[in-house]
Amino acid sequence: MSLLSLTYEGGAVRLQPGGRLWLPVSGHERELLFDTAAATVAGPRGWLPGEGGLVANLRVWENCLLPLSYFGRTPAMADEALFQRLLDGLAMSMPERAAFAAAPAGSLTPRLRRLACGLRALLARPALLLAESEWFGRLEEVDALNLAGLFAEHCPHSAWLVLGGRRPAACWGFTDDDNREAS
Amino acid sequence: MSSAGLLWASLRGLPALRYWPVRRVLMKQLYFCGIEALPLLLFVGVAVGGIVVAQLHYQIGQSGEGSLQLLATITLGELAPMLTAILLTARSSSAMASELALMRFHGELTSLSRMGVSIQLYLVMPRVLGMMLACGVLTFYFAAASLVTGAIAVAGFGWLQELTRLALVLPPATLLQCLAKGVTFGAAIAAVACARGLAGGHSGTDVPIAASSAVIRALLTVFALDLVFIVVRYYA
Repeated sequence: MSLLSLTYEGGAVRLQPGGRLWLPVSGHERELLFDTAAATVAGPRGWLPGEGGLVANLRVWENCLLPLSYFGRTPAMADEALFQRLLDGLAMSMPERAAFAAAPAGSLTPRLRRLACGLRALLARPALLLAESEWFGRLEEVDALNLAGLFAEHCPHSAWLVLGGRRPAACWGFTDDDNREAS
Repeated sequence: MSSAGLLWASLRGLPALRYWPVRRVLMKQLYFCGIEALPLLLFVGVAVGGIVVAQLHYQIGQSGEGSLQLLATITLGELAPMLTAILLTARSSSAMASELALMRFHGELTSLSRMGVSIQLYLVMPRVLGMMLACGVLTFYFAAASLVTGAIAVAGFGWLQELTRLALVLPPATLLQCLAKGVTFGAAIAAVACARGLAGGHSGTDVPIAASSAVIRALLTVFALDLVFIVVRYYA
């Protein structure tokens, strides 16, 4: 049973739970496809934009827990412990982690902002992850490997819809055959 | 969505208060619109009490008790809810509209929607509810500050006795009307500010436009609603 069905270049493209779909679209068409996908799948969704993406007047930990707690789960000890475990997976020093978690989102460097978006998506454990391909392209190699490992461990059943000019690297589970399988 | 639509959606979305991110936005709103605005409101309330009593008692020659009764009627009926609403409009509605317009400009609203977080439940409802509560409570504080000042001005150390006597002759409907106006004006101000903030375009120049338009429209709405209250009270 497919999670999502989109119309692309006149044909129907389907995405299964846990599947991968990359489409080389940009501009208005990309926004429309993202909106359609978001409207189709209920519940929390991961969102990994190329630029921005965080609520500027919230701190990083508040941003990360926002979709999780909005959908009915309180930020209990277990969720905070999971947040700490995810930070473990990013190989940051303790002072760096503390500063990162407490930083206002508006003050983050582009690298840390992309990491925060990744952590937020991981914590929400969504059925569908929406991503702009620029998010992958601008990740540093070590961060990409760390995050890809975390997504494989914590969100194995999440389906990925990536829109943009470049296909994500193989470490994210995207291969040349993905789109043929999806359609 | 129009201001009335946002207001209706906010009232229907009250159950979302069970989620802590929504309650957190409400708390922030109460702090910003209520607690931070309190010193300003108290100052204006004290000044209004002193000015009105000085005019009635010392210039027109009204008796002390009569001046205080007139002050209470004027303050609770019109001045407290209107001036509180005007001060909150000047102070908070432009801030609210520009904050939402900036969030829209920076793509934060899109991000929230893409994650499945409702803009109306997470951003609009707590703002409307917070402003309603803040405006209602601040109206009460404004009236209290004004009446205490008036009582001190006409009775000196006997101010408490004057206020006790006043409480016995003041009709409860006046107090209820004051509270109803405060809450209604607060809801209207916030709904208009949110509607203007969310309706902004995608350029930086839309932010100040949203802010100034929120202030003007909120003031017009407050005056129109006050007229409705008068019509309902005296002619219905």
